[in-house]
Amino acid sequence: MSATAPAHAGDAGTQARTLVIDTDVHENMASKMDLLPHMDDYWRHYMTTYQFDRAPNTPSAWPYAAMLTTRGRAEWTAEDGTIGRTVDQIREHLFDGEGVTHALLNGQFYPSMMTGNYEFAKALARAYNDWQRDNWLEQDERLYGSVQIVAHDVEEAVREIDRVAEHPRVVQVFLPLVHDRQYGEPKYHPIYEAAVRNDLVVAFHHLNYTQTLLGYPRYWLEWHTMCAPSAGMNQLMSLIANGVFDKFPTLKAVILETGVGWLNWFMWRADAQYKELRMEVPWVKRLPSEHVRDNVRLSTQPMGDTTPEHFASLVEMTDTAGVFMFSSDYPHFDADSLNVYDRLPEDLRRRLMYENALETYPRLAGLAR
Amino acid sequence: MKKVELCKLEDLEPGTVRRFDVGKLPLVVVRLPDGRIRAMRDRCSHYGARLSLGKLQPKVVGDEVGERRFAEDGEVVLRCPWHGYEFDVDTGRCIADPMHQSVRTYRILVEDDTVFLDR
Repeated sequence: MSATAPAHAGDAGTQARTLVIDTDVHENMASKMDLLPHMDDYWRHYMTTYQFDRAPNTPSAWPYAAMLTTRGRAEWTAEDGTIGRTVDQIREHLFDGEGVTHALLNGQFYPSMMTGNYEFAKALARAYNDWQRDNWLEQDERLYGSVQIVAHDVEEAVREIDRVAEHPRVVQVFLPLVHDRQYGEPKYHPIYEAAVRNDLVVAFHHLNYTQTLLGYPRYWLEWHTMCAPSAGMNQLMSLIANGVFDKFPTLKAVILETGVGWLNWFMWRADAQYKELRMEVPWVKRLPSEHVRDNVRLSTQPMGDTTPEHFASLVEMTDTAGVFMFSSDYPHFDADSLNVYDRLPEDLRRRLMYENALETYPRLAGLAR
Repeated sequence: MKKVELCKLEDLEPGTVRRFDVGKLPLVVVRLPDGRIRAMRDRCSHYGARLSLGKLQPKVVGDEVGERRFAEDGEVVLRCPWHGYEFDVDTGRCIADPMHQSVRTYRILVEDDTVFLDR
């Protein structure tokens, strides 16, 4: 069987061609906003309100998560729509604008989240650590940094921690809050040992890959409400139950951007369960709540979960004034400014603003006067 | 009552969101798509953001899961640029929490193609 292609305007003057049918060709949009003329009013509204033009060009299993890193506070968004791209922006917005004096950089690039091509993930982590050092830490002495690692390869992670920790203003090892790894497991303990050896804390933060107990729920509202605090609780319980704080009593675990309201419930619940089930975990020598006060720190943003008055009551209930540390979540749209803390009692405010951070991060001790 | 001139009507196109500082009063004035003008204090009741940096948007309504449509009467909201709180431009109340989050509204007069704050 053979056939020739019908005449086509572009074929003027050529001989008839045998059919060739290509069954896999990829056209591309310049951006998803190319689709707006073909959408109804509501979805045009949704796309533009949540700035889908800045999210990756492919729909994914978690479309709302694709946009969560793209929206900044209006005043902090550059004309080209970018946020948090330069040291000058941090100087202008945070140091001059908000009254912050020192900033701990957590980035938004966590190669430890990658579930394949671990060699690539490790190369990315090394490159990011050097990039952060050269482009941020070396540009302003008020900036402090993190060690990105790939937790799957613990030996390599330890080497990277030792390497990057040589910079005096690197203050923490960074791990993403994820749903498919239990960071308390003994195989990860060398990471904590390396952190302690280098006077670093271990910080945890969620990102796109963090799921809820229901996976990626239907709506961003659900994910944004539940994801970070539930992931934080689960990983914290893993650290406690696997004896991380018993083994490394000077280790500090900092859990970022999970809000503040859940901690009391967690301490009460974990203590009650520990008293019933201690026999299962005899290597855990102290009440979970005691470990929380001594070894765990929470950054405060988003403080919108509660009022300052309620927060002060929560802290008093569980004697956790030493646990919380101010954070803004710059440059994101739901960041906290310092005015959020104005109605706190002065001594608690002082602890949040700097005292607890000075006590928590060994490498910040030099800022104390 | 005292009238404070804000601007010429032609300087407020429909869809405009604009800030005016009237003495110590920060004011956000919006001109709705149907031409009406509304004003409220330019300070979000949540964390104090400038509502004048926000957007005038159609109010989204719906009753069944998955149902979303714009309000049939053309109702619009002023959306805060920080956390996205939506404020009713007539009442100043937050759509999601009308009992606890609201912004004071102010009267606007239009006379001889001039827009006035009516204090």
